[in-house]
Amino acid sequence: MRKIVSKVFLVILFCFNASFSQIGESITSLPPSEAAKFATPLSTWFGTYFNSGGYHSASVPKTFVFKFSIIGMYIFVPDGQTTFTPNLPEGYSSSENTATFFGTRGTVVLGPKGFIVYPFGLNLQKIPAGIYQASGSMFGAELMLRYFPKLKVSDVSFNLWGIGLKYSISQFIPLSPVDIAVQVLYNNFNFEYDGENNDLDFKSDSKNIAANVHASKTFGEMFTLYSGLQYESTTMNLVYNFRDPNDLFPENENPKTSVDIEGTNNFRFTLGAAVKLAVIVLNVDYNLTSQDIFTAGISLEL
Amino acid sequence: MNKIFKQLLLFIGIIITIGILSCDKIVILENLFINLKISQEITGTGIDLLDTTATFCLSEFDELNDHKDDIEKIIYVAAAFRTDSSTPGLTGDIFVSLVSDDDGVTIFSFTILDAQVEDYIENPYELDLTQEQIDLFNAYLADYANKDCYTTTLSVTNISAEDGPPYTLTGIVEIVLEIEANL
Repeated sequence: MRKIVSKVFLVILFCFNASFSQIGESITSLPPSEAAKFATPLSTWFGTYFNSGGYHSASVPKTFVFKFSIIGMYIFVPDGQTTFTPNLPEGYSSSENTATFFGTRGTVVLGPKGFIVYPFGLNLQKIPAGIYQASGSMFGAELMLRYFPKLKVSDVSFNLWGIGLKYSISQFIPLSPVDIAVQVLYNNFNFEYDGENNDLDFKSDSKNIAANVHASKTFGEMFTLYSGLQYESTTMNLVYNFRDPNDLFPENENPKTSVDIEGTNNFRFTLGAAVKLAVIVLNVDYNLTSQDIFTAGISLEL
Repeated sequence: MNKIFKQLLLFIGIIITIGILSCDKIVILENLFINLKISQEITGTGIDLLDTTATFCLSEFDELNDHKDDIEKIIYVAAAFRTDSSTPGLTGDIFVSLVSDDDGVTIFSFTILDAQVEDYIENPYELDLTQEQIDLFNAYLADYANKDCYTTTLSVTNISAEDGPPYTLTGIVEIVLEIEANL
């Protein structure tokens, strides 16, 4: 069973990360400030991804209920996050923007130390992904867990874990017409590329925090409409060996570079609907945030 | 309990199918693009003229080797010459060329007449290839498996300088290529 679940996770999420390692190699040619601009949309993407699928109802059972969910997503990266304006060293100039992680063409600029070559992006603006999670609820509170053990595939290793706590507010409001709950989420994702050439090694650590208040209304014990407002914060720490291919930073004696990259995902509004068929719940929602996201979930509730 | 596991298995099966379909879409649609910069540092010393060469092979570069079985296309992007160091006041006619080692065909050549060599320390000279030269280079790059190696020539004729002879010049020829590989 664990193998099957692992496959689901690998196929849905990490086919994307195979490309991540290739692009990551290119980041090692960028100084920290440029690497941060290149990878900001990626940091945002991680936040958008991990802070999704936290709920499909604000009703929290008082008796024990176990829930296992698999959530598929479609994340939309807006045009504005596919390019950035390079901050070029003295003597270089260009009117062209260059690709971010999700963009297309990396620009090439000629100056006193030769060509500065920016990396290409993945040319992705609509990205499917998925995640699984398990949760248990009792006494109007719910604990949600996400976990994937450290796995090494070729030169790439990764792992993730996440936790969510949800608490029913409406249980203290007699005759409340809707269910209301608050929730906090924390998700951590580590990714490391450790290839034959140590100069190209890099690792990233994405930390994602979210807090939301959401409400839902259930009709006929079967159909549920839900909505929520969420504050979220994402930081991706990137550690890599800056290769300085143009020898533009001779003062930089230690190539080991660490840069914290803040995601631009701060607030999101969610609107969704769910339908319960015996022990299976199907839900869809749309999230307005820095990178809009459509999610569809299927949950087994026992 | 068996019933629950059966339900769970069915449930996961549906999701695997959705997942594989989604992932295939990424893999099929998106190729990986890499900018590869090739820098050739060439040093020459001479009395009446400077004439020196350096050879590179595409198979020397990790960017290419890492994807050698998946390469769709390699194309030329840009090229430039710059001076790293030289005999003070060195002037002359600078000649830069790139020749295929496979058949000796000249891919491109440039002559900068009556050049102050030191002018190109801070201001590289962009080798602005004609469309014909670009097409020829791209044709060779398309056959990279058989036409792997190239020789860069740097020479200076009609030399004069404040010091010397002998005269010395260290120049750098840079070529940027774009690699497209299947993911």
